[in-house]
Amino acid sequence: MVFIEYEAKDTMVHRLNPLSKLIWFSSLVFLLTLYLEPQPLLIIFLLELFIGYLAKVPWRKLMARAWWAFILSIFGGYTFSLWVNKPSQFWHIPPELGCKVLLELTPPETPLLGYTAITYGGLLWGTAITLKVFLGVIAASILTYTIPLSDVVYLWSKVLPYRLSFICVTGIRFYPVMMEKVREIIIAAKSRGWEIRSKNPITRAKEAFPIVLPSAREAMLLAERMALAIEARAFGVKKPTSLRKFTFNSADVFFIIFNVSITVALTCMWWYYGFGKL
Amino acid sequence: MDSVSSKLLLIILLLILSNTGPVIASPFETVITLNIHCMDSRKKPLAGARVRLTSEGTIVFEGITNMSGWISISLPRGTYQLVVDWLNSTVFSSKIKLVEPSTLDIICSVYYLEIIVNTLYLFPVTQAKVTIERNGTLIFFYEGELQVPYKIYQLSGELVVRLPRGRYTVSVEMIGSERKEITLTSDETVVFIYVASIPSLITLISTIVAATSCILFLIKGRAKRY
Repeated sequence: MVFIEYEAKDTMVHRLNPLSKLIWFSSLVFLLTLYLEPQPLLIIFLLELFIGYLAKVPWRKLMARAWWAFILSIFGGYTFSLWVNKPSQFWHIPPELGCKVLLELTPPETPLLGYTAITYGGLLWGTAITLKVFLGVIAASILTYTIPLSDVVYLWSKVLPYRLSFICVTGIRFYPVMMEKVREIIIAAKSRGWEIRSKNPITRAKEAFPIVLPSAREAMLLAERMALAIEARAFGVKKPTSLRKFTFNSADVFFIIFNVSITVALTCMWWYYGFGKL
Repeated sequence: MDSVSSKLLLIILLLILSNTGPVIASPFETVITLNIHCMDSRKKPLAGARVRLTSEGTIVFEGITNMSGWISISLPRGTYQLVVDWLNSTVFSSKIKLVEPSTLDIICSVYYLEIIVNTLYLFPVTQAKVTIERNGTLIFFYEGELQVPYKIYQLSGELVVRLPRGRYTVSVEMIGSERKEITLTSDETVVFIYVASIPSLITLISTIVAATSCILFLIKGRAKRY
């Protein structure tokens, strides 16, 4: 799923080597996995805003497309936070503070649910989880907005066997094409009076046949055309050569050093000071 | 002695012996029980404090407070000078008049000294050697881990020490050392910023490198590649 597609802009981030941007993304994902408390996530948020500003990310477009992911993360994060109420769940926060009940929802002997309550620690955890999803979505969007797919293919081909890299890229590239085909098939079917009326899942599946069958046929036709095209280009005879050479300039080096050092600093703070531990 | 008066005496004796409450007041004796609760400035018990009661320059009672800061004294009626010593310092001194059994809560001049060790105010030092001296005499020594308590947007390596009122020299050593003179007359916080530990140094260096490389990236990144 891509929230914002690549746009060929001439920004500082767009001009960077794709590998530099991947290192930035990887270090960010690594940091996001560490934290269960929102304070360091706000630092990461500021860093993302900074990179997004440099990349001239269309924030409104991103918000319009990813709002449901944010709502879902808020709902999921705060729902699960109701079970964050035991002293053993707190590592750095004093348990008496973390377990401080703001509102008790169900008593401990409640069947299935057990003890649920809105606690101070639970709210911190819920906020952290929500922020993590939010930051992950923004980071992935900045990445897809600043790296063209062809560059991703090039990078994949450096680490993956070229056949596997080709399969992955084909899958990603054909997703929007297939979605467009399916949309066309649905419009055509609707113009002939097709509609899913039933609420029964089995009946609904049966009613979807007029869409599924032509879609599968389209997919097979696309695959066949693709197979012919790659055969015509002698794919598989030997490893393909790259059309574009990527070089590292000083901006790339400084960008990588910046990301690595920030990651080291925040990891040290997490490890030694418990910064970001619940 | 007839049986009635001997029974009465026995009952009185039993009553005196069976009294387990904190205060014993016998109508037949002038000995009065005084319970003293020694506390510090935060009203936490002061264990191990030496409590002395003197009358006309003579020590009539001397004892040590228990873990809860309590001590029980039985003395005849009269006026006494109560002195509480802790860590070789007098932390409380007052005249008391013993007329009836009572409980005395006393707040001693024992204050909390919060020692914060942060490299350049930023990154906590988690391991350090802390020594506290008074008039050249070692009062407190600690070598080990400093706590980094959970606080909103504040990280600090902390050690909290309880000390009697006075003038002290506090030294902190790790990578680098710092010495400060303090006069403790209330709860105080003293911050050491020129001491580092390996984690604080790594974090500090990483942050400086990050800031520098960010500026250089902004400068170099402006140049167009194509």
